[in-house]
Amino acid sequence: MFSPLLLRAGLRYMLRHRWQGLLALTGIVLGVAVVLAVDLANSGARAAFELSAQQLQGKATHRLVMPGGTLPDEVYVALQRQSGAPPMAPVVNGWVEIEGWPGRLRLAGFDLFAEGPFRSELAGVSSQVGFTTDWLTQPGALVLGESLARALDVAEGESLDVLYRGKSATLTVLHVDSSASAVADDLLLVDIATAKSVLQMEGELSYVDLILDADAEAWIRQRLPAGVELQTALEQAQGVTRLSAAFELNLTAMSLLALLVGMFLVFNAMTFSMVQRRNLFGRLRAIGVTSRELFRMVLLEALILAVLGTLIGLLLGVWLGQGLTRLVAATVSELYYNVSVTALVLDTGSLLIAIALGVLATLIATLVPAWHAARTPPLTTLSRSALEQAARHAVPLWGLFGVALLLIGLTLALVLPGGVIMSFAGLFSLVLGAAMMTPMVIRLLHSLLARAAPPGIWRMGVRDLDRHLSRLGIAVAALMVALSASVGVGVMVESMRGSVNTWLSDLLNADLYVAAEGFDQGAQLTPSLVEDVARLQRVDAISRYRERKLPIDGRRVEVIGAHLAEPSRQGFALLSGASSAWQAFDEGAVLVSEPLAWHLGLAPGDTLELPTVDGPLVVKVAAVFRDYASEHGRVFMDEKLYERVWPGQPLNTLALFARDGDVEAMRREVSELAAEHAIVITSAGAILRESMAVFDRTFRITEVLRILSLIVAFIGVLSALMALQLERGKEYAVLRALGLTRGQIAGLISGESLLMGLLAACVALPVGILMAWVLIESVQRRAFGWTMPFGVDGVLLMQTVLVGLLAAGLAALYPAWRSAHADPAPQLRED
Amino acid sequence: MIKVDNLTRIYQTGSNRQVVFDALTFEVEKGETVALLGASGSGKTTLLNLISGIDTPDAGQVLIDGVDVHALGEPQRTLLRRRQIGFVFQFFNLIPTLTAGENVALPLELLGSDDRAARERADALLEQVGLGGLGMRYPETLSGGEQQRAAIARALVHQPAVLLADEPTGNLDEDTGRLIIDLLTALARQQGTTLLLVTHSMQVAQAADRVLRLSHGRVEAVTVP
Repeated sequence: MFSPLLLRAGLRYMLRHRWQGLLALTGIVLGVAVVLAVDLANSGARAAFELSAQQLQGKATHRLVMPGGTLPDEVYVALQRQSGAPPMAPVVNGWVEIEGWPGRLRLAGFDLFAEGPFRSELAGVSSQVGFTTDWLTQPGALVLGESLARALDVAEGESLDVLYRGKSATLTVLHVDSSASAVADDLLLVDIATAKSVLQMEGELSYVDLILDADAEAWIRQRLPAGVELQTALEQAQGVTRLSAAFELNLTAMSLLALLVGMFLVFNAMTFSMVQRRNLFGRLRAIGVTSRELFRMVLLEALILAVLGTLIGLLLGVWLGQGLTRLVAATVSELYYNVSVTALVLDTGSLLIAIALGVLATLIATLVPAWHAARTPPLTTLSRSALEQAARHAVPLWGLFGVALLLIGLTLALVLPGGVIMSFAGLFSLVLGAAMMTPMVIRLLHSLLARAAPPGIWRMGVRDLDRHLSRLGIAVAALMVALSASVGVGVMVESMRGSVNTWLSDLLNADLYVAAEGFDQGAQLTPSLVEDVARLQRVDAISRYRERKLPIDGRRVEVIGAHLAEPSRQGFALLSGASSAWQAFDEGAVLVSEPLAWHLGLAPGDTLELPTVDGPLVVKVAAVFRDYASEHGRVFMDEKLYERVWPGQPLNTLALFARDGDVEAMRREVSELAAEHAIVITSAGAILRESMAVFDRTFRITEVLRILSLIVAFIGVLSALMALQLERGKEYAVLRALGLTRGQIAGLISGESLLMGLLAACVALPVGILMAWVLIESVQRRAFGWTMPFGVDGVLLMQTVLVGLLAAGLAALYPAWRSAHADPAPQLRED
Repeated sequence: MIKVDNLTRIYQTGSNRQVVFDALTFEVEKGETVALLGASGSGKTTLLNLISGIDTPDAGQVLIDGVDVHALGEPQRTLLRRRQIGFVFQFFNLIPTLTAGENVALPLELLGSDDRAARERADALLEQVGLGGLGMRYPETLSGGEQQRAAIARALVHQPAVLLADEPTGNLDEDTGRLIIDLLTALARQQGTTLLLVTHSMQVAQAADRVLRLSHGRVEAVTVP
C-alpha cells in the first residue's frame, strides 16, 4: 500500500522549493505548448483547405478530369444524355483577384439544376423564393459567405469587381449565406455561365463531379472518352494536401526538438530534486520505506507535475496555436494555395498527442532520477563530494553510450535505406547521443580551462563546474541541444538559401522576362506579341516557355515545353548525363528535375511516361538537373515535341537576351509593345529578389520555433542555477563570512553560468553542423529528393555562441542577485 | 532478542584497511536497556547500522528474535526495520516537509494503518512526550529538544521490538539531554522494547540496565559506578 503521507512529503517539498517545481512545470508546459501549437497550426491550415475543397467537392465520389487541361463541354453533354447516366454536375472554377484584397479567391461556377445531389449550400439557398429566377437571369449573380462578405464590405445588391488574368468582371451579390453550412471563406459561387465568362472558359469545364457506386463506375469507365480520366475523391484530396507536406515536415521536426529540450528540462529538474532530497530519502529508507515505494513516490510526484504541466501547456498551446495558425495560413496562402483561417480547429488527435507526449515525456524523463532515488541507501552516508565522485566515474560510461547512440543515429539517417521517419529517428538518436556525451566533453574542456583561468574566484568558478557536474552537466546538455538544433536548422536553411540563390541566379540568366498580365493565374502570351518581340532589333536571342501540370505517380508535375537559347541552356545545373544531354534534348529526350528523378528512380537513358489525351507518351531522360522550384518535379522538353503533343497552346513566358549587352535599349523596345499588349516585363534580378523574399517568408515560422526552443533552454539553465544556489546557500554564506563581497559572490555565480553557456555552445557547434548534415543529406533528400551543397556560415556560428552566453548570462542574473543579497547568518546557524 | 555473533566489518579505501570490528559478539535480552559506550570513531554507528540491516558485515551474523538479518534480501530487511525496529538519531532526522504529527504517524501509515487511527495514536504519543498541541508544527519551528522528543515518538509509535538510539543527546544541551534519556528509557521500558543506546557519555549510559564498552573492535562489560 502507498502511504499518502509519503506523497504529501514529496509535494510539500515541491511547494517549498517553488522555483524548482515551477521550472520543472515550465519545461513540461513549454514542450507541450509548442508541440500542440505547431500541430494545431498544421491541422488548422489543412482543415481550412479541406473545408474549401470539400465545399467544392460536396458529396461527389468521383471526378472526371482532363489531365493537364480542361474538359470540353461535349464530354459532359454526351455522357449526360445517355440513358442510365449517374448523377453528374459540371464545374468551372479558377482563382480570381479583387483589388485591395490580399491573396486570391476561388470563383466556382455550378449548374443549379445539376447541383441538387451534390452541394447542399447552393441547393439550400436556391429554395428561397425568387432565387432561381434571379440566379439565372441576373448577369454576374453571386453568392458568398457572411464572413467573406463582411471582409469585402459588400452587401446583397451591391457589385463586386473581380480580376482574372488582368481582365476585370463585375459580379452582383445576390445572396449572403449565413446558414450553418455557410459557404467557405474563400469561395465565390456563381452560375456556370458566369464562371465561363469570367474565367474565359467558353466551351470548357474544369471537371465534372459524379456520385458513383460500383455499377455506375463501371458504366462510366466503359464510356470514358480518350484522354479523360476518372479520379476518386481520395485521389483528388491526396493531390492537393501533398502540396504542404514539405512545410509541415519542417514544422513538426522543430516542435519535436522543442519537446526534446522540454524533456531535458524535466529530467534536469527532477534530477536536482532527487539529489537534494538524498538525505531525506535516506531517512525514509531507514524507517522502513522500501525502494519500490520511493520509486513509486517519485513517479507519482512526476505524474502530478506532468498532468498539471500538460493542462497548462494545452491552454498555452491553444493560445500559441492561434498565432502560429495565422502565420502558417499566411505562408501557405503565399506559397501554395489560398487558405483562410478564421477559427482555431481544436483537433482531438492533436490534443491527445500533446497530452500523451507531455505525460509520457515527463515520466520517461523521471525514470532515471526515480531509479536513483530508489537506490538511495538508508541513512545515506555518502558525502556530496563522494556523490560527485560517483557521478564523475559514470561520465565515461555515459560518454560511451552517447558515442554509440550518435553512431546509431548517423547509420539510421545516412547509411541504412528508409524513409523520412528513419531520418528523423536517426536525427534524434544523434542529438540524444551528443547530449549524453556532453558531461564527458565538459570534463575535457574543464581541465583545459582550469589551467588557463586566473587564480582566485575565477578558478573557483571553473572548478565548481566540475565539482557540480551531476547537476550542471544536464543543464549544459539541455542548452547544448537547443543551441545545436538552432545551428542545425540554421545551417540547413542557410545552405538551402544559398543553393536556391545560386540555382536561380544561374537559371535566370536572361536580361528580361516577358509574361502576360495575370501570368500567375495562367494567363498566356498572344501569338502576335511573340511575333512582335521576335522582330525587335535589340533582342539577340529568345527562350520560349509554355507549361502544363500533369499527374504523374500521384504528383502534380510541371511539364515545360521550351525553346532554349544557348545562354539559357548554360543556366541548367545538370547533375548527371551532362555530356550529351543537349543533343538528346534536341532529339526529343527530356530533362528531369532532381526531386522527380529521386522519387521515380530515374537516371539518364531511362524512360518516363507522360499522360496525354492520346494515351501515355514515352520519353527518354536526357539528364537530371538541380531544381528547387517544385518538390513534385519538373520536366523540360523541346518545344517542337511539346507542340506535337499539346498543339496550339500559347506561350507562358519569354526570356530575352539583349544584343551587345544593351539591356536598357532592349527594355525600351519591349516597353513600347506593352502599350498594345497586356504584358509584364521583369528583370532577372527582380524575380530573384521576389523568390528569395518568398523563401524567407517560408522559413519565418522556423525562426519563431528556434526562439521558442532557446527559451526552453534558457529556463533549463535558470532552473539549474536556482537549484544549485538553493543547495549552496551555506557555502556562499561561509564565503561571505570569510570575506567575499556581494559582488564577488554574484561574479562567481555569473562566471559559472557564462562558462556553462560557453561550454554548451562549444559542444553545440559541431553537433549542430552534424545535424545540418543529416537534415540536408538525409531528411531533405528523402522527403523532397533534392540535394544541395553544404555551407556553414561563420556568422551563424558566432551568433550561436553569443546566444548561448546571453541565455546563460540572463539566467544567472536573478540567482546571482539573490545569493549576493541573502543574509548569511541563518545559513551559518543551520546544522 | 538481539544476538551479534562474530561480526566483522572492515573498510578498505585503496591500500588503507581499517578493521572496525573483528569477531564482535554480544547479546541483548528482550526488554533490556543496554548502553554502548565508545569514543568517536570506535564504530558505534556502524554497529547500529549493521544491526538494523542498513550496512552489511564482512562476516558474522546479527539475529533479531532469531531472524538472521543479513540472510534476508534488501526488501525484507527494509520491512524488518519498518515492523520491528525504531530509530532515534543524533540529528533527529525528521522529515522536514511533514508536520511533527505526520512524522510520528508515518511508520503506522507505512504499516497500513488508516489515516485517522494513525493520527490518533500519533497525537497520544506526542502527548506522552510532552508535545501535546505541537503536532501541526513543522520540524524547523521546534527546538532541538522538541525535535528529539518527536523523533522518539516516531521511533516508538509502532511499538517496535527493538529501539536503536544513536547519540540521541549528542546535539542537545546537558539538561535537555538528561530529560530526553529519561523519556526514552521510560517509554522503552513501558512498552517492553529492547533498547540499544549508543553514546560516548558515561552519564547517559548510567540510565541503562547494562553498559558495554566498544573499543578496538571488541566489547567488554562496564561496571557502572
